[in-house]
Amino acid sequence: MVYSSLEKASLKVFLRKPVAQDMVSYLAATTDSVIKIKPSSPNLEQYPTPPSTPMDNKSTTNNNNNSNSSKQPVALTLFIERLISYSNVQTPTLMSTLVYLIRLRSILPSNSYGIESTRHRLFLGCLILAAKNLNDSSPLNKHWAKYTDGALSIKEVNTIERELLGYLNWDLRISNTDLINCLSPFLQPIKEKLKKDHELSLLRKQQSVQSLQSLQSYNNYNTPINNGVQHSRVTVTPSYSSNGSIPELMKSSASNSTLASNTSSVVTPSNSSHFLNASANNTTDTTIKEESEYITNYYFKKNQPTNTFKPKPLRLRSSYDNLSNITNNINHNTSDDFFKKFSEEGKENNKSNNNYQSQKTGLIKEKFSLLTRAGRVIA
Amino acid sequence: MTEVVSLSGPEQHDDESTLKVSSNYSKDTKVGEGTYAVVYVGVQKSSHRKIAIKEIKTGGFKDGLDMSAIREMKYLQELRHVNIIELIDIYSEHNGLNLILEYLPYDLEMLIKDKSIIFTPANIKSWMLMTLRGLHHCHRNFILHRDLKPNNLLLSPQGVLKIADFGLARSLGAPNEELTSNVVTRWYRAPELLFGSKHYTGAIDIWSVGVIFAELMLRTPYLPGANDMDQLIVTFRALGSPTEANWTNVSKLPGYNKINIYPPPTRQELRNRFSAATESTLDLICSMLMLDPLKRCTTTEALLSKYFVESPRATDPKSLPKIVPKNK
Repeated sequence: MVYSSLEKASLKVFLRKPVAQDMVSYLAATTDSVIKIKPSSPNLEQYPTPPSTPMDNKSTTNNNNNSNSSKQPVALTLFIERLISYSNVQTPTLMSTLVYLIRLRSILPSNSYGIESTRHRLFLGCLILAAKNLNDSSPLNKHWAKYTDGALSIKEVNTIERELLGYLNWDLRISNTDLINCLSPFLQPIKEKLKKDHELSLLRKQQSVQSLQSLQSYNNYNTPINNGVQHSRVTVTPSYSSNGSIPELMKSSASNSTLASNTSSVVTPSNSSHFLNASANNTTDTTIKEESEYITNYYFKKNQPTNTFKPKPLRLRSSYDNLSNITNNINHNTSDDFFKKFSEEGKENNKSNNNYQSQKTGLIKEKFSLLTRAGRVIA
Repeated sequence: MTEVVSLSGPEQHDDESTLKVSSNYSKDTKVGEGTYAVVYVGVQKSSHRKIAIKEIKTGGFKDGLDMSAIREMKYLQELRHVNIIELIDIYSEHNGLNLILEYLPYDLEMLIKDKSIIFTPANIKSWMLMTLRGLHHCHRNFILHRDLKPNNLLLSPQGVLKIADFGLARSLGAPNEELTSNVVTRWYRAPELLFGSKHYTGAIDIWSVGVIFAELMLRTPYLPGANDMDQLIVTFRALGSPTEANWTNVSKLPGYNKINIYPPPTRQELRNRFSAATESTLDLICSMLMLDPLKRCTTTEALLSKYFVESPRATDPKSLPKIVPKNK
C-alpha cells in the first residue's frame, strides 16, 4: 500500500485537531456497524412503537432511561461523549480506536449478535487498548470502569480488554496505511485544503521566478555584450505591446482567446488555460482569476518600463508531490536537475505543448548558461 | 464467563486457538521472578527449540492488562535485530499473559559479578558494540528503551548480546508530548531525568550505556546512588555538577537545585579512575556521559568513534567468556 506525502501531511494536520462532535458521531456509527444487536426480549419486537416526539437531546435520553427502567444502557453517542470528557482523551488516541473497531468488524463473524451493551463494551475496550498502546501513561481499568458511570464493573472491563486482545490476536500495531484508510472521511477535506494552499504557494514562487527570468532576459535583450550567445529564441516576444490593458490581456490568456493565433511562435494562451483547468478541479475559477490577476499586476508593474514582455503561462500543478519537487528546485535552481525537471514535467503533463516546453526550457537554459558563464568569467 | 457471550455470541473460537497455541509450548522449570513477571524455560514442541516463557503476573487482571506488558509486546513485535531479543509468540492462559521469547541463559550482570572471569579490553569492546548496535536499531525506529542496565542485556549460549525487557520502552512521538521522567533504574538514570525533565530523547539510553561501559571497566557499579537525592550527588561527584555554562537552560528543569557544586573531573582523574582505558576509550565514555543531553553522542556517533576502529579488535561473540554452570 502506498500513500502520498499529501495523505501523510493531512494526517498530521488532523491529529492536531481537538476532539469534535463529528468524530464522536462517526465513532458511534462505526461501532454500530461492528456487530448486530439482538433485541433482548421478544416482547419488545411485537409491535414497533414510533419514536418519541423530537425534543432537545437531554430530555429524549431521559425519556428513554425512564421508559426502560431496567438496564437499558445510555445512547452510544452519549456514552462516548462521557468517556471522552472523563478521560480527557485526545484526538490521536480517540481516533486510533477507529482502527481497532474497523479491524474488529472484519474479524468478528458476520452472524454474531450482541446484547444492548455490547457496542458500548466494544468501544470502551478499543479505547482502553488504544490508550494503553499509544500513551506513556493511561488510566487504570478501575478508572475506566468509573468513567462508564456504573454501566460496567471493573471485572467486566478487564474481561472485555482481554477478550478483545484475543480477537485482535495481540497485534495492536497501527500503521500509517491503517490510519489513512480508516480516517479517510476526515482527511479528505484537509487534503483538499492542503492542495489548494500548496498550489497558491507554488503560484507565488512561480511568479517570483518569472519576474527573475524576465529581468534576466531583459538584460540579455538590452545589453550588447550578450549578443554573441543570444539566440533568436531569446528575443522575448515583443508580440504583445503593452498598450492593451492588463485585465484584458489576462482575460484573454485565461479564456483561450484569439490572440493565440496572432502569435504562432510564441507562447499560446491555450497553454496557460490548460494548466489552469488542470488544477481547477479543486480551486474555484474565481480564486484562480484573482490569483492570476494579482500576478499579472505584479508582473507588469515590475516590467512595465520595458514594454516588451508578455506574461508566461502560469504553471499550476495538481499533484502535491510535483509541487514539492518544483519548490525544491526553485530553491537551488543552480542545478542541472532544474532544467531536466522542467522538461520532464513538460512531457508528462502537457504532451501537446512539447514544442513550447522545449522552447521554454531551451530559453531558460540559454539564459542560464549565460549566467554561469558570466559568473565564471567574473570568478 | 458471561461476558464472552455478550461480546461475540455463541461462537468461542477464541478459546480453541488459545489452547492450540499453548499446547505448542511446554513450560518446564522456573528460572527467574521479577516484580511483574515469572520466567520459565520451555520447549517449542514443533521445532524442539528451547524457549523462555515470560508469564506476566497480572494479579488476576485486577487492574486490567499491565501497561508494561502491552509495551513490551508492542515493541518486540516491531523490532527484529540480532542484538534485540526475539519475540516468538504471545498467548493468554487462565488469567495471565505469556510472552514466548528466545532462550537466553545469561545476562551481563551475572558476568560482571563473577569475579573468576577476566574481561579483556577486546571483550568489553565486543559487548559495547553489540549493545550499541541493538540500541541503534531501537533509536532509528524512534523507540526509547528507558531501562538499560547490565541485568537487561542478555547473552545467548553463542555469546551474542541481546537487549531485553522493553517494559518501559516507548516511541518518540511529537516533540511537544510530555514523557514521564520516572524511568530507568536509578543507577543508570541520566541527569536530565534526575532533574525531572518531561522532554527527553534517546540521549537517556546513551547515558545508561555509558554507565554500563564504565561498570564493565571497573567491575563495580559506577554511580550507585542510595536514593534519588543521593543519585544526584553521586553522579555529580563523579562527573561534575551541571551549570548554565556547561548545560544551557539546566536551571529551568523542574527538579533542578544547586546544593552541591562539584568540579568536573580532570582528564588525569579519569585516567586514574579507568586505569585500563586508552585515550579513545575515555573519549567515548566522556561523550556518552556528557551532562548536557544535547552534547551527548548518538548511537551513530558512538559506533563510528575511534574506539571501535583502533586495536584491539572486538572479540568474536563465540569466544567471549561464558558462565560455567556450577550446580549442574
